[in-house]
Amino acid sequence: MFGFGSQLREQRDFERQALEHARALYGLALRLTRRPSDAEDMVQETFLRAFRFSERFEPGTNLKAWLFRILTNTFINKYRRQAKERELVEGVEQEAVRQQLVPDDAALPFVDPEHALIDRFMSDEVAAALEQVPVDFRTVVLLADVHDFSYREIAQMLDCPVGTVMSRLYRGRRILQQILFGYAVEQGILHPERDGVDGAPADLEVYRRRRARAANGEGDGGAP
Amino acid sequence: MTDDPRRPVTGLTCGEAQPLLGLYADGEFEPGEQPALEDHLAHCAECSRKVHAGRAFRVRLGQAVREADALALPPHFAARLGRRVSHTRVAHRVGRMALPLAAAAALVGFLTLTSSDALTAVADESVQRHADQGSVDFASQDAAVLERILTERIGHSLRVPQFGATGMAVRGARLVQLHDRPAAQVVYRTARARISLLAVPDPQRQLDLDDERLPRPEGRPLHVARKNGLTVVIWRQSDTVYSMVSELGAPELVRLLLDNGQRPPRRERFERPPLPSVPVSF
Repeated sequence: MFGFGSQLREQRDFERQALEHARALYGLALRLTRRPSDAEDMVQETFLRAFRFSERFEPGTNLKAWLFRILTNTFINKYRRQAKERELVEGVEQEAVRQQLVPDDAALPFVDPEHALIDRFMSDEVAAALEQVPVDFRTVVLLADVHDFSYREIAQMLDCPVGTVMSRLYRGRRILQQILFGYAVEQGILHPERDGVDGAPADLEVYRRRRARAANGEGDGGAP
Repeated sequence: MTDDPRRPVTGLTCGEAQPLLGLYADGEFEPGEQPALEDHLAHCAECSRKVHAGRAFRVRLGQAVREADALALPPHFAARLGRRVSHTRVAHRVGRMALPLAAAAALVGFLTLTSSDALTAVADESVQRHADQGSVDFASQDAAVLERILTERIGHSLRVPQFGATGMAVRGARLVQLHDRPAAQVVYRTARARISLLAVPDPQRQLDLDDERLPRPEGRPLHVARKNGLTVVIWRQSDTVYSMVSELGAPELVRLLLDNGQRPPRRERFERPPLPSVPVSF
């Protein structure tokens, strides 16, 4: 009966559909910020922006991808600059970029499956290990492997070339595996000399430094 | 990774397949998009194993993190988020419009209206705002001055009715927001009562006041209702919908409008709202 009402209904439908992605957004925000309170704030800000600029969303396109893009942008603009790991990320990133579109190890994005390393850990241990991966790589691994976005969708979200997404994804996975390897060594599941994987010793050092930093309470709120 | 000398001549070598394995494992290719690679994988156990391992890793990683995320989700997350988003949106609007926070409650309800409630929303909103006896944004007893200010601020030619003949003087106006629509509330006072008028620009005629159940004395409907002990009268005048609220009884409020109509206001700009030809039941 009321045209005004139909506007309201459309907006309300949009808000309801958007809120269906709240849990997934919180998951991403939590793994990015590593602090529950920051994650909640970030999700709230994401929805406020989404609702305020809802007319910019093109109906029929991927609402989830649109919301994730807002959240990652919010993170980059607000939290990313505060991250203490910037220097470390840039170091690894530069190395990845040097390898151009597809890094040499693109065909080896995964460790020897016989280790089936990731299967040996509980879910919260895997999530905690992922939080140790430098944030640029972690972001891409989360978007691809946890939230199932394609390379192209991730490239659009992060406003970067697909090649950068690929290199960060493969590199991020390898770093994660090396961290898990470090966990396994710590727990006596594996022995470095007998079960070593490429680059593990050097990355174990990185991992141990990060663990020590986390233990000193330097910005690793979600660390194990 | 060593090339299998028994591989078909049409397939790829392991070296050629290598850069594609990650993409393939991640499902970046459509089925049939890479026939040569698929052919290679069908014959190369080593590359096939890598692809399976890659997929297994990805599946386990996704599953593990999603499980951990679910466990980390704070209790009542969704409900709290909904409240926080609603309240912040309201606070944002209220802050922007320099309105008293007391008005927020009305907007909170308004955000969740169903379409059929649109007119009720205007009535509720005007009743809620009538209760706010705080200061006005623009204090003036000159309707022409308020008209100019409100028209400038809202971007819509808004008429401020005058009821001088009835002893009802304008006191001032507030800018308000009605679901992203700029609107105005004009406050009047008589010796006996306080009257407020919510003026909602509606040039697109989206607020359809028509309802066949209403009396239509001059072909136009007039809505009269009682809410929270107050009388609400709603009518349209060209591109603006007005909702008048007062502690006065309904017959008294309608008569006040008519009395004013019997003696035209100074500016001749207020068109008398139609009176129902049949008594309105209150």
